[in-house]
Amino acid sequence: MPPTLTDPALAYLLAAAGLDLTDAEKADLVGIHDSLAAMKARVRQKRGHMAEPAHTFGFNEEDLG
Amino acid sequence: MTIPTLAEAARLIAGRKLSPVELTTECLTRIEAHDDTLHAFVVVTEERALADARTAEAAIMRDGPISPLHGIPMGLKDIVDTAGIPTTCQSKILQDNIPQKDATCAARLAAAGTVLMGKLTTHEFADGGPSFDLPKPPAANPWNPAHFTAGSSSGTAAAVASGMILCGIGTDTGGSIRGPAALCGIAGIKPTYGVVSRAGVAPAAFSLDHIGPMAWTAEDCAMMLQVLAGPDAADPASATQPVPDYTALIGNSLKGVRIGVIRHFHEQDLKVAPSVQKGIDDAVALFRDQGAAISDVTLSPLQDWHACGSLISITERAAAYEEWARTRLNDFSERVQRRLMLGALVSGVDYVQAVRRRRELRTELRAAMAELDVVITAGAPNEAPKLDGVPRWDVFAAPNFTIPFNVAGYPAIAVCSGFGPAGLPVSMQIVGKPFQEATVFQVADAFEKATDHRSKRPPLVG
Repeated sequence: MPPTLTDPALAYLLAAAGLDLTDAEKADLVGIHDSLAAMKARVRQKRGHMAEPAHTFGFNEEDLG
Repeated sequence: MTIPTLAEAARLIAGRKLSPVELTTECLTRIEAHDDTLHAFVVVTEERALADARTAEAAIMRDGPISPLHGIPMGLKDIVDTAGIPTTCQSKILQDNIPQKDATCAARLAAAGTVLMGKLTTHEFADGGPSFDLPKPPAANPWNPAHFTAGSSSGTAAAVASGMILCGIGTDTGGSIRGPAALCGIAGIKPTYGVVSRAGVAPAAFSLDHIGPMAWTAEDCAMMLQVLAGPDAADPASATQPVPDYTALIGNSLKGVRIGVIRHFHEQDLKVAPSVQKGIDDAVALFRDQGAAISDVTLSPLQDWHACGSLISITERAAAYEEWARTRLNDFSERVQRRLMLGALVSGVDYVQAVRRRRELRTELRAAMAELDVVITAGAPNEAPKLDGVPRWDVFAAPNFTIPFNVAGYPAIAVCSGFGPAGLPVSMQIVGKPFQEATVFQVADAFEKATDHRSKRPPLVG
């Protein structure tokens, strides 16, 4: 089961994002929370520390010039 | 006049057998006749179009065409900056926005001598949709105006399908070129990430955004991409690879071409409608008959690709529009408001885990394609739904077949693979290796020319 999105947790997240939502909008977000949590579970794989983000970069010629 | 393909028009114009002014006038007539129904245009630049056409015609008569697109009527999605012409992103927030400078893609098309017909309907900031609470209504599907075009390059697809333009610019963050191409029965390619500059185009999600051509055929898209591709210092992700001849392989035999079928995507992960499945099965049989080597490919489930791309998209979009989300949230459409609100629920750690997953998925696709030239799967699961039948939270309703190739950055084209029981188009995707668009066009063109799907235009426009 995904973690429950409590009212205080949602209030904290929205405040951090600087969003001021109506009660209906908050209910809308609570309603899709499980679906979003399922997406988050899918990107978490058993992986080692060398499994780096896709856009970890090297230095190109311009950096070295 | 029967509306020609871009390739046909280019040949006729070069041979001085088709007047750009007459062609432009025909397109304007179609806009006049059908745009009240289709809502493909946000702005029709009639005076500019006729001026461009007259200039092109005079130059061609004097010196011949400067490019295969010289004198060709085209349109730009309304998130593409155009100097002196409103660029509203179909948003209340930018109703008065008139850019000073053309986006790189607009400038390259202008330099090639194209005729700008206007700015094309989009979902707001290339997101959400269809929305009925925006300054303009959503585009309608030319095959049946009660139905959805998909988006976000909705106006471009509707305008090409109905012959109001011969080609146009779309943008694609999770399928916004290929989805509308699929549902409107045209061709649309998302090139390799970085091939077409994003400079001057409103962002949707930085690392997933692609700009690309939409037209009636794959060959038309290849001709348009030839003009658009190439390095641009104004885009930090612009690729520096030399631009190949994208039409070089068109007409070549498929003998020996290695084609993989990601069968589980469309047969198990998200089972497509029988008409979509038939289109793919017919294509596989046709490719085999033409000498291609066919094999099955197995990747991670479509849902994994969709989750990875969606989390990245939600977060990057929330970052791109953070200031307006904080200060003007109610000025966005309801659908885009919901998308922006989602950003509050995705943490930095979630985003990084998605980007780590992205590397794994890209590595997986590279390995799967090591001995292949292209892979194919569905373009959309079914015919177009009704305009009022699109789920409020469509991102969670079902995975889509297009976002895996935004996640990977690989080139992917959607082509019409037939028609469903409602008479609306169905589609498949052909996906190539990075910078191998020429092979994608070769396979797509071979399919189009061996079938009769390109001979049928929407009944609305004849």
